[in-house]
Formats: sequence, C-alpha cells, structure tokens
Amino acid sequence: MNILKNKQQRTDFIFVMSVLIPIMVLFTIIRFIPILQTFGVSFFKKSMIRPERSFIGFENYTYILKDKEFIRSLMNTLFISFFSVTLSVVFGLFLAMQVNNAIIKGMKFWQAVLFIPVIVSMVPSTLMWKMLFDYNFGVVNYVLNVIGLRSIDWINNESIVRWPIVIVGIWKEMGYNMMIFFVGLKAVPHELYESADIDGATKSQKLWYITLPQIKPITLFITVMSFIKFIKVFTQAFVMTSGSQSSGNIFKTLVYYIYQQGFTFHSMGRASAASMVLLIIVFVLTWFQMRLSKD
Amino acid sequence: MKMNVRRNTGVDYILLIPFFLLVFVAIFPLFWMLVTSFKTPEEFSAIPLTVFPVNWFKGNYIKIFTDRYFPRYFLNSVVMASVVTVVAVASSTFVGYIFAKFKFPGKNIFFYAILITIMVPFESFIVPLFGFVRNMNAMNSYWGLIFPSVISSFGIFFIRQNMEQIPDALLEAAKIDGAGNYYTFFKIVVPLSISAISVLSILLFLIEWSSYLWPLLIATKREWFVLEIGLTLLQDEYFIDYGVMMAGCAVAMIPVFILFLFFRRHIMDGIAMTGIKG
Repeated sequence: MNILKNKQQRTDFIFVMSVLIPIMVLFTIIRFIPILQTFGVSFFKKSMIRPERSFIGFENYTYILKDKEFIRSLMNTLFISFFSVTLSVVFGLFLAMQVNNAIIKGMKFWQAVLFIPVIVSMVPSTLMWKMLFDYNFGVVNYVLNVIGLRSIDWINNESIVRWPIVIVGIWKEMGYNMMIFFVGLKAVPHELYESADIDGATKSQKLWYITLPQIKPITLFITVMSFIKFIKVFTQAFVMTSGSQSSGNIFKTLVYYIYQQGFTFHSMGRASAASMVLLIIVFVLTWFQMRLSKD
Repeated sequence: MKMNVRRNTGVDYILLIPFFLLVFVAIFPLFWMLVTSFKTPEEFSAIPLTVFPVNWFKGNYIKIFTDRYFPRYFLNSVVMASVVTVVAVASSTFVGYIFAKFKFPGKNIFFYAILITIMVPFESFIVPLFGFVRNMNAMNSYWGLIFPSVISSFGIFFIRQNMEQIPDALLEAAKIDGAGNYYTFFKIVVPLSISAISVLSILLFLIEWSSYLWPLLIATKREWFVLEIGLTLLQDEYFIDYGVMMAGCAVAMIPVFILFLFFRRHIMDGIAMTGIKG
C-alpha cells in the first residue's frame, strides 16, 4: 500500500510538472520578463532600434512629467474615463432597475438588445459613431440642421471630439454595467421590501432606503472596474481621430503617448516611464478595489 | 402581500421613456450601419436623408468580398482569435486543474505570481514585448500575432475557482479504480467543468476578435492585417465611402452575432459573473 501511494505521488508529481513547467516558462517569457524590463528600461536612455543603452536614473520620468504632451494625454485620459465611467454606471443602474421591475412584458428581450453593444468590437463601434458624427453626412448634424442649428465639426476639434469618444465608451459599457447591476439587484433580500411594504413605504422610499444602500458595494466595484478599463483607452480615440477625414490631430490618451514614444519616436526609455505611470495608476485603483471588497 | 409589491404608478410608466430612449441609442448605430451598407455613395450623401435605401444596393458587399485584401483580413482574424482561444483555454484548463486539485512545493508562490499579472495592463509592457517578438523575427506572422496571448492569467484563475467545486472523493474514486491523471482529467474533470470552459472560450474569443493595438504593431504588411485594422483602412481615401465601410463592419460582426445568437445566456451570465472583458 505504501509503495502504491509513493508511485501515485510520483505520477502526480510528473503530471503537475509537465503542466507547470511549460506554463511558467511561457509566463516568464511573455509576462514576467517584459514587465520587469518595462521597469528596468524606464531608467535608461534606450532607442527602440539600436541595442546600446545608458543609465540615466529618473531622467525619463522628469522628462515626461514636464512634457506638455504627456500631461495633456493624461488629462484627456482622465476626462474620457470620468465621463464614460460615471454616465455608463448611472445608465447601467437605471437600465437594470427597469429590467428588474419589469412593469411591461418582454423586458428580457430588451435586456438582450441593450447588451448587444457590449459584444461589438471597438473598431466597428467607433466607425459607426464616426459615421453618425460625420460633418457632412452624419445623422447628428442632420438633426441639428433640421431643428435649425448649425453643423458642428465633431471629429477635427480636440475639445469637441472628446464627446463622441465618450459616447462610444458609454454605448459599449452601459449594457455591461446593466448586467452586473441586474445580478446585484436580484441579490437584494426580498424580505426587506416586504417589511417595507408592511410599513407602508413608498416606491421612492424603498429605492432610497433599501435598494441604493444594498447595491452600494457593487456600485463601487463597477465604478473602479470601469475606471481600470477606461484608463487604458486607446482604440476609440485613435480610430475616431485618424484617417482621411480627420486633420491628423489625434486625440492623445495615455496609451497613445506610450505608443508614440515607443513606436514613432523610438524612445523605449520614455515609453517605459509612461508605462510605469499607467501601471501605477492601475495598481492604485486595484488596491482600492481590493480594500473595498474586503469591507 | 404580493399585491402590494406590484403597484405601478404613473412614474413607473414615465420612466419607460428614458428606458426606451437608451434602447434606441443602443440599437440605432447598428441599424444605421445596416441601412447605410446598402446605400450608394450618392444616396448616403443625399439631402434630405433617406432612412431605408431606395434600391437595396449590393455593390458595397461585392466590393468588400472582391477586395484584394479584405478576405485575407477576415481569415487572419479568424485564425488569430480561434488559435488564441483554443490554446489559452486548453492551457488554462490544465493549469487551473493542477492549482485546484494538486499539492506541490511552491504552489502558492506560482499561483500568486500568475495572479498578479491579471492586474498588470497589457498596454504597459507592449514595448519590451514588441522588442522580443521583433527579435524573434515574428513580425508579420501568425506566430507574432498569437504568441503573446496564448496564456490567460484570468482564465487560470477562473477555471481554478470552478474546479475547486469538484468533490475530491470523486477524483479519489477514479484513482482507486486505476484511472491515470490524463484519463481523470479528460473523462471526469473536463466534462464537469464544461460550462466554465465554454464561458471562458466565448469571452476569450470576443476579446481576441476585437484586439487592435497588438496587431497594429505586429502587422506592417497588408496581408497580415486583421479585420480591426483593415476596417480603419477603408477610410483611407479622400472621401470616406461609408457604404463600403459599413458593409465591412457588418461582415466583421457576423461571427460575433452568430455567437451571441447561440450562446446569449452563456455570454451575458458569463460576463456578469466574471466581471472582465476588456
């Protein structure tokens, strides 16, 4: 019996290692090393195309923090994140409540319809909205003209194009938030509403004193999750503002800044320093979220 | 008591107005994409605007399918997304299993090392990763497109959480009956986790189908572009032919919509459950 157990342990050990070794090798090559390299290279002056490098301490960090383009990219990113997150959370909650209340039939169907934008890839989503916001042929300007307003150049003006970019984000995110809120609303104990009914509470009282406090943790969770997602915003901003109909004024976000430093200016050091800023923001948000979920 | 729960007031019905407004916003771009894809350039630029095409013009789709590169973009996307999904799901299933059901030295260290990479955004280490792939001469190849995504730390975590629910007694019984590790894995563990595995497969496919930044870096030749890149190139003329572009978008969405049609519950519950995507 003892021998059998040892044999079993040995075959188990071989099985575990045959799975673990290849996966850890892969993780080392395509995750651990690149992550450590990002950290390391951020202290070096290193070109993307030439192998030599020289240690310069925090110079890349001081460069990007003084770089107006970097600050602008960061501000743009925070702007997009703030409005995309808050509005998609508010809309998501509202939609989930309506679906949950189900005062008319067929809410399951409308829920599925509302979910469709979530699965549509980012590039087609952005292109569809770009068409709707087109200066000459867009439906949005057409409606503005019909009600007697002038057309707006939505795409080529940096301070205006941020709104179509925010709208793409909300459009894709609200159905997602709706699903999570929907699960959260279903989990609110029914007895709370029943006892409130006995006490003669009105609907708005029930909303204010039961529903909202009950889903507060999930709301915080969704908000931080969305923030982590939108801090990485790149595709919708890049696709919306590149191409022939745009002036070439690409709406720069943090990830775009990394992309530009690394792949246009070939400065690996500065790109890595900017990457570290992104990483730190995401870590702080993640830490915040972990603290929230502990409470 | 139940009677009290359902007492709808006027306010409830008024709230349906913003609700259906948002439904309209959700669906309108897709609707407009479809009708525009059947319009000639003259028609979508005409004033007054037509909603439905006067003649359902099929030229845009013909142009897409006879384009020199578009079918190739489609193929590249299919290959990239499918291979990534299959390999990442397979590796996550094996690795999730050993972390759920085996004891070995250093288990926690390995697990937390994998777990911590969930938090690290892909965008933050693309620069060195790109350097690595370029040094491997893997630019403009499926290898380069696929390689960085074949592991999923989220997938490992998700599968492990699911497999921990499998009772140990079941696996013990199989071992006493003389089943080997691979036999137990394929005949007992995988069938019991099939719903988690399919949720993960669909999510990874959707994520990979929409990936943009990495293919943008890796493919510099047209024959290696994926759909997401190819679509943006349809605007690379002086005049954006929205008809052709929307036909391209519609075609690019077909696989996603097929998945949604068949696995709607899986996708919606899966996404709500896992809280990832993106």
